[in-house]
This record gives sequence, C-alpha cells and structure tokens, in this order.
Amino acid sequence: MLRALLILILVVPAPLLWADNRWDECLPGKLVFTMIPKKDMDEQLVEYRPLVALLGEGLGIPVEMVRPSSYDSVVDGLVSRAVDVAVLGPAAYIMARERDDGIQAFASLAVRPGHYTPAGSFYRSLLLVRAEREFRRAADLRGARVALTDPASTSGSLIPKTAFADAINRPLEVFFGGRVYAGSHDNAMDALLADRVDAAFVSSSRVDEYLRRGLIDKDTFRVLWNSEPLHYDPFVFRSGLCPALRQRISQLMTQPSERRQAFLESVHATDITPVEHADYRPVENLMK
Amino acid sequence: MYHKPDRPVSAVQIAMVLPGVLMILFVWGFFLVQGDNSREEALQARLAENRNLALIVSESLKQMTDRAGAVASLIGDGNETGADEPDRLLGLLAEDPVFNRLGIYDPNGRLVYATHPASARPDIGDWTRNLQPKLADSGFVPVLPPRYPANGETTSASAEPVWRLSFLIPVGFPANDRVARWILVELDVGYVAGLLQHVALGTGGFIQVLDANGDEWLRADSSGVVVGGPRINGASMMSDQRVSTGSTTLTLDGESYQYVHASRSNHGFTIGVAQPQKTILGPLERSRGWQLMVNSIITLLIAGSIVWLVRVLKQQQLALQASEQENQNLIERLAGEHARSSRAAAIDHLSGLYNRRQFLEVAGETLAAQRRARHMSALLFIDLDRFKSINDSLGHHVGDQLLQAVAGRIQRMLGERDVAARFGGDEFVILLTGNRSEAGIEQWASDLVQHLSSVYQLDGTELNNSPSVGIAISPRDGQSIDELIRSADAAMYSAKEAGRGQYRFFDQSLNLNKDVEEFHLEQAFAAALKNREFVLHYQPQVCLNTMRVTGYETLVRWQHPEFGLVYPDRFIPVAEKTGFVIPMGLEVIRLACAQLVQWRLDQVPVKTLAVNVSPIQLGRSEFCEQVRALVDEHCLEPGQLELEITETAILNDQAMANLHCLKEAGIRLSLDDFGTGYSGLAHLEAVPVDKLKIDRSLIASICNSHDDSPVVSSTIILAKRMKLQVVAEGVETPEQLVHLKVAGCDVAQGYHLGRPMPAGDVPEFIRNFHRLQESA
Repeated sequence: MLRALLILILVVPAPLLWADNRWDECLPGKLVFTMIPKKDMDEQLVEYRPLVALLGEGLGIPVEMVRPSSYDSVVDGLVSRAVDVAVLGPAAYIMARERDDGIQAFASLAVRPGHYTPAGSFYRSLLLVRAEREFRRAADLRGARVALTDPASTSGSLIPKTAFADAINRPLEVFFGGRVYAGSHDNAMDALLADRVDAAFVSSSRVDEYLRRGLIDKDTFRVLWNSEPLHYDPFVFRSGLCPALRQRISQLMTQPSERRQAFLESVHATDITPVEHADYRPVENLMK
Repeated sequence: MYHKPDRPVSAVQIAMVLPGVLMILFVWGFFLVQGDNSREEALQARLAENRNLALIVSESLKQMTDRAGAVASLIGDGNETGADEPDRLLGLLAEDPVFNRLGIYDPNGRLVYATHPASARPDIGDWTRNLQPKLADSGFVPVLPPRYPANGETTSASAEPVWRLSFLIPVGFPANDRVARWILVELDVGYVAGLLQHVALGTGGFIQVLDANGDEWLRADSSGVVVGGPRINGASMMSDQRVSTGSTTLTLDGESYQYVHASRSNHGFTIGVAQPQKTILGPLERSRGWQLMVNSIITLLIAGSIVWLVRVLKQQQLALQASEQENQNLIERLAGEHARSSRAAAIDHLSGLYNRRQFLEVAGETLAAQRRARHMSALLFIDLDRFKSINDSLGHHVGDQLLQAVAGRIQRMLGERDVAARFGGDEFVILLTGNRSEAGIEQWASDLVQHLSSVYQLDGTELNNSPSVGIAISPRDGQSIDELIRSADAAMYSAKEAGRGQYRFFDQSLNLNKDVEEFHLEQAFAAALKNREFVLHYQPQVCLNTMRVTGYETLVRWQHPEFGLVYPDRFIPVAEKTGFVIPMGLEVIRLACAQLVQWRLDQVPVKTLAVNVSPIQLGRSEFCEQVRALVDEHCLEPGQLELEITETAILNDQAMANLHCLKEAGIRLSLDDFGTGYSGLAHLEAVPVDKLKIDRSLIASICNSHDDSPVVSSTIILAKRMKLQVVAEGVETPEQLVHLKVAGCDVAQGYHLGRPMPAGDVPEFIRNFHRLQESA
C-alpha cells in the first residue's frame, strides 16, 4: 500500500496531490463505468477502453465497464448507485437528477467542428430526410414515419417532443404517422438510410461522425429542422461518491496526459472540458 | 405491274404460326401456374420461418422471465428484508443487462420495497387479484401482467412508449397456492429491441409482445421500438396448451399482413410476428418481373421470328412469282423474236407478202381446209408484163417500187383467208379461198387485171404495167398446191401468149377463145407422152473449117396416130400454154440421150446432139437436176449433150441458176435465135453459154456482097472476142456459106447442108455427106 502510494506520489503530478491528497482514502474496491448507447455497443465499448485504462491507472483500482441496454438502464444504474461514473445525454442527466439530485455533471467532450456540428462542446438535434426524397419543409413530413432514438435521448427524443413540437405547434404523435425508437442515433440513421423510416431526429455529432467515416456524404441528407445548440453529453458522478475521488477523476480527465490523448483520439474529440449543472439548465427548462 | 391477289393463309404459314402460338401459350401458362405456385410456396415458407421466429422470441422471453424468477428467488421468501439486501440487489441489477428495476410487494399487492422507489408502482393489487386464481393452473411462474386494468379502460398511454416490460413473480408456497410476496421485475425494452433489431422482417414487418388479453405491450421492428403503428384487434390467442401457435392473414391500413403468433399461456404472453405479404413476395415479384420481361422477350422473339419467317416466305413466293413472270416474259419475248424471225424467213421483205416456202406451207393448210369444206379454190399465177425492160430501163429502184405497189394492190383485194405470195422476180401467186363460183373467180381475176393495169405513180413517175394471170382451180386442175401452181403457171404462159393484161384458165374449156385443134392436141398430150408418140429428127451442123458434121440439132415431131406427123410450131405453143411443155421437154432430152447411146452402140459417128429447151422448162428449179440425172443415166460424155436456149429464157433468175448448174455438169449451152431479141452481146457476158446461134432471119439477109450483113459480121467478131462459138442457122445458099466462112463463123446449119431427118437416115447421110465433101 505504501509502495503504491509512493509510486503514485512520484507519478502523479504535484498539483494534483496538492489539490486533494485524500482521494485514495475513499477509494472503492472498483469503479463501475457505463455510458448511454450511441452506436453499436461493442464499438462504443472499444472506443471507451482508453478511458478505462486512464482511470484504472490513475486510480489504481479496476474499472468495470457495464454494457448498457438503454438510456434508462444507465439512469437506473446511476440512481441505484450501482454505477459510479457514466456518460449521459443532457436530458438523461436531467431525468437522473430528478430522481437523485446528488448526480453531478463534471465534464464534457469537446469535439471538432463538423459539417453539422458547431465547434466546441455543443451539438444540435437535426431532423433529417434523405436528400432525394420529396420532403422540403418540416411540414411536408405530416403523417410520415419518423425515427427517434431513445425516450431518454435529448436530441433523439426530448428535443423533438418539445422544441420541434413547439415549432410545428402540435404533438409528435399527432403530427407523425409512426414513431420508432431506434435505440441509438446510429440505428436511427441506418433506418433512414435503409428507407425504413421517412425522417429521423439525430444528433449532429453522430451525423458528422458518419460523414467522417464516409458512410454518407454531404448531399445524402437534407436538414429540415435543427435545434438550438445543446451542450454536449456530460460525464456524471453518482451521488455519494466522495469529493476527493470526484476531484481526482476530474483531474485525470481534464489534465493533459498520454492516456487522455489516446482516449480523445479514440472518441474523435478535441478536449474534455469541465462542466457544471448550469450548462444543462436550458435542457432542464425544456423538460419542465 | 404484276399483282397477285392476297391469298388466304397457306398451310405452310399455319404450320409456322401454330407452333409459335403454342409455344407462347405454354410460356405464359407456365408463368401463371408457376407464379401462383411459387407465391403460395413463398408464403408457406415464410409462414414456417415466422412461426419459428415467434417460437424463438417467445422462448427467449420465457428464458428472461426464468431469469427474473431466479433474481426473485435470491430475495428469498422470508418476510424479513436485510439491511444489505437492497445493495446486493442493486449491484446485481446494475450489472444485469436485462433487468433494471425490482419491487417487492406483499400478497395484497402493496409495495414493500423498491430498488427505484421514485418510479416504482405503489400498488399492484389489480394484477395480483387477477393472477391469484390462475396460480393453481399455471404454477408459481413469472407472468406478464395485463397491459390495461381489468375494468377495461384502454388509456391513452399508448402515446408514450412502454420502456419496461414487467414480470410478476409469485413467491410463496405452491403446495397450497399461498403467495408470500410478489416480486415485480422490470425488463428494459431497449434490451429486447436490441435483440430484435437484427431480425430481418423487411419493410413493414414487426414483432409484438402481447398480454394474455391480446393487448400490446411492445412492438418492435428492425428499426427499433415502434409507437403508434396500426392496431391489431385480435381476440385472445391463448389456449390451454403450454405453447401454441397460429397464423392468420390481417389487413392493416389497407395492406395484407401475414400474422403468426406463439402463445405461452402459463406466462401470460404472446409473441406475434406480422409481415406484409408485399414484403414476403417482394423478391418473388422481382424475379417474377424479371421472368415477365424474359417471357415478353421470348414472346417478342417468337412472334418476331414468325413474322420474319412468314415475310421471308412471302418474299420468296413473290420472288418466285416474279421469277416465273420474268421467265414468262422471257419466253414471250423469245416467242416474239422467233415469230419475227420466222416471219422474216416467211415474208418476202420487198413486197411484205409470203415467200414461196411460206406460201407452200400456209396455202397447203388453207387448201386442205377448203377441201374439207368442199369449197372451190383458185390459184392465180401472176407475171408482170415487160417487168424486165422496166427494170433495165428505169432501174431496180423503180422495179422494186413497182413490185411493192403491185403487192399492195393485190393485198387490198384479198379476202380474209386468201393467201398471197411473191415467188421471186415479178411472179406473184394468190390462193383464193372461201366459197367461190367459177364466175366469181373469173370476175375476181378480171378485177385483178384491171387493178394491176391502172397507172402507177412511182417517185413522181407515171408507169403503165399489166399482169398476165394464169388460173388453176382446185380440185379440178390439181389436188395439191404444187399441181395447182404448175397448172396456173402454164395457164399464165398461155395468157402471155394471148398478149398483155390477159388472164387464162388452165382448164381450156373455161377460156372463151379456145382453139378446137389446140384443145384436141392438148387433150392428147398426156397420151402422147405415155405412148411415146414424140420422135426426134436430126439436122446436121457442119464445121465450116473442116466441112465435117460436128453434131445435130434435134427437132421434135409428134407422130400423132390421127393427124400423122405434127410439126412443133403446131403443138409447142399449146404445150407451153398447158404446161405440157415441161414433161415433153424432158422427154425430148431423154430421147436425145437414148439416141446418142444407140448410135454409140451402132458406131454411128455422132458426137453432139443439141436439144431445144423451152423457157418455161428452163425456169423450173428442178430442171438442171433432171437433166444431169438423164446424162448420168445414159453415161454420156461431157459435151455430148447441148441445150439450146432462147434469149427470153435467160432473163429469169432460176433459168440463170440452171444454166450455171448445167454448165458445171459439162453440158454445152447455146443461145438460140440470137439477133431477134432485145439482148445485146454485152448482156451475154454473164450468161454461161458456149455457142451463139445467129437467127435464120439474119442469115437470110446475107446476099452476095460482104457488106450486105454487117450485123452478122460484127456479131461474129464480137462473139469470137468473147470466145463463143458461132453457129449460123438457116444457111440455104452456097453464097451464105461462103460469106459466113469468110466472116469467121464456126458452124453452119441449114437446108443447104442437110434437112432434119429421122435417126435411121443419119448413118447414110454421114456417109454421103463425107463422100461428097471429099469429092468436092
């Protein structure tokens, strides 16, 4: 234990130690991590492996990654304190806080600006149709079949239900002929690309990701509606996690390091920036 | 333009069209039958697949409920709830991908504990009351509670997705059906949807999770969880069996769906798989579309082939017809050419009438027809008077024009079936047909003579001419055309004798100015020939140089049984009129030949006999051959026979041909009566004669003086220059003889030297004449 501490002291930069030198005292036997499903879960788990390594090495304890089945399962895990750290969507974060206000957003990925996404830690909810379809305006989609993501997704469910419904001045279930919860943004886009749905509400960062991977080009989709910028998905702590540990994890994720860099590259992000609850207040306001 | 009317479809065309139509019918029949079959097969195959899918999904869900049961069993069946138990449960649930939440309820359905108290159902009495009675049958197994309360209010909750499937697990004492507590395990729908998203149900297909009442808990397709799709109003599909399946066809939003369900009554749920028939049959329709295209192409190909074949056949038929037509045209053209060339061969180009050959053919047939019809026919032989002199004086051009004009006048007079021909030179022949009387024929002949005697206007020249016409009537004067021609020819000569512009019948009884004696003679001719009543007398010809007899001129006499010896001046004209001069002339030649042979045998020194030939005879084409045959028959030496011809005879082409022919055969020719006609010596150059006999009228003019007959002298000189032997006829005085000898005449003949004598007197005459000469 002492040796490990010595190594940590040698390895961990002094400012960190200065900031809180008591984090290891409240260290649990393992750290449980999960994230909301965005894409193929196996791929997503691989992408987050560098983060697991960063945290595991930085904390000196095993980090367990739980495979989620839905946004709700992640929220449930956090609320039931079975999960220590998670990535939530903004709406899921607000939902989770409604059930347990000890849940705290502490960081967010900053991504490269894309064709659809503004620079920094923001993204938008987009209503997409395939460019060759006849739909020109959002109003053309009356009676169409639309893909949503997950009931707890911000851009894939919450924003459509609120901001878009306000924009078209009627509830989604009245406006659209059929709604499909595809489970993830990628599934929703795949359904759109396969013509299984007429339109899809998708996160702009996921569309950019598809663009980056060459699965679509800039002319594949037509954007019929987009939301105000939304703050990017927050990393959250469950309630009851000791503050020293929270600080240590924050440090690991926000201070530059090789592992952190590997993680950023893995998720195609430019930075991890600190956030606080106030950043998600606009979403919270939408949900009231 | 040749046009063939459209014919009805031929057997060949039917034979081509029928198999094609049958093939097309077969292709389409097969397509329809196979289409129905494969449609049914596809639906059945998909039904089996989807039934399996429903069973697998129901089994999977049942296993999840088993797991829920296992989770529930961890909680135990005691009433006590340990302080660390929630933590243990939470830990389990956090790591369980299927279950998120768990609640523990007392037997009456009131919440005792919940992992997520904020969102837990406070009371599930509605469910437990419903399930309690069924526990005896189903046992203590996890059950999917009904979606809607039993009092039947289907709330508008369907607007929001159900994101959790609840399973209610009774825990307690199965033996007496007493439930100690109910455990509600909630399943994350995202997990179920994730499982189902790789099930390919195609566009419009979906899977349902239904409760025991048939109300929908969850609907998912390959895109995800579907909210607000078409509602399925089915009765409860539960049965008594643990697992049961069924299928039906539904119509949702106007579209046909194949619907398969697998029900698990113990667990209170049914899995439904719905798939639009359109989706199931889509690939089939595509292949069917492809097949349709292939069939259409095959049909087009077959139809095209048939059309093409029929067209090719038609074209071939047309080509064949065209070729037949072409052949027909060719044949017609050749026939035309043949007719033209035959016509050319048959027509005398100058007059446009038939030539001799064609006349003989056509007239022969016509005559036969006339005789069959028992009609009288008349053959007219026409010779133009003075034609030779017209030709000579006005030229051939005018002569030809005259012939054409004559032919035209004749033609205009002809009846429909009358036949006319030009026999060469100025000879025309007409066969008059129809039913004519003798009087009618005579009238016709009279008209003809009158017509042909009218003035001719030729190249501005007025010309007078007349015909001599001989008429023979069939059948009286001859049975065949040849006989008729012969008779008409003879009659023509008699007409000529009678002067210009005359016509004469061969039958003398028809001629009005007949001479009775001539008539009798004529009647006797045939018999005379037959009885050999003609005899020859011989008048010696003496060479003036040697004063020896070089030959004899034969003179015919008729030893008539009634009239005694008849001299030729009496019967020759009749013979010429009647045509008997021809057989008689031949008889004379035969007699001369026979006499030469006899004298050779008797060693009488007679070298040459000269025979007079009638112009008529010389005009006969067969004459030369007949003479040559006689010479050969009697084995005469060349030069032994000499023929004396008159100037008129040589004006005829046929006569000239005969002369050359005779000359070739070594027969000597002499021109008789020279100096009386119109031919000059220069004219004789073309005539192949050896001798010139100066007419007795010229000789008679010779008196004592040399100058008395310059004509004779100059004639002799010119004849000598032309290498012709000169014979003087009718030498009756010694002065004439001397004169001729001085003038250079070769041979003399006359009473002064010897009268004509019978053959029997000749040997003695020779002996006496020679003795006399030697003594002189």
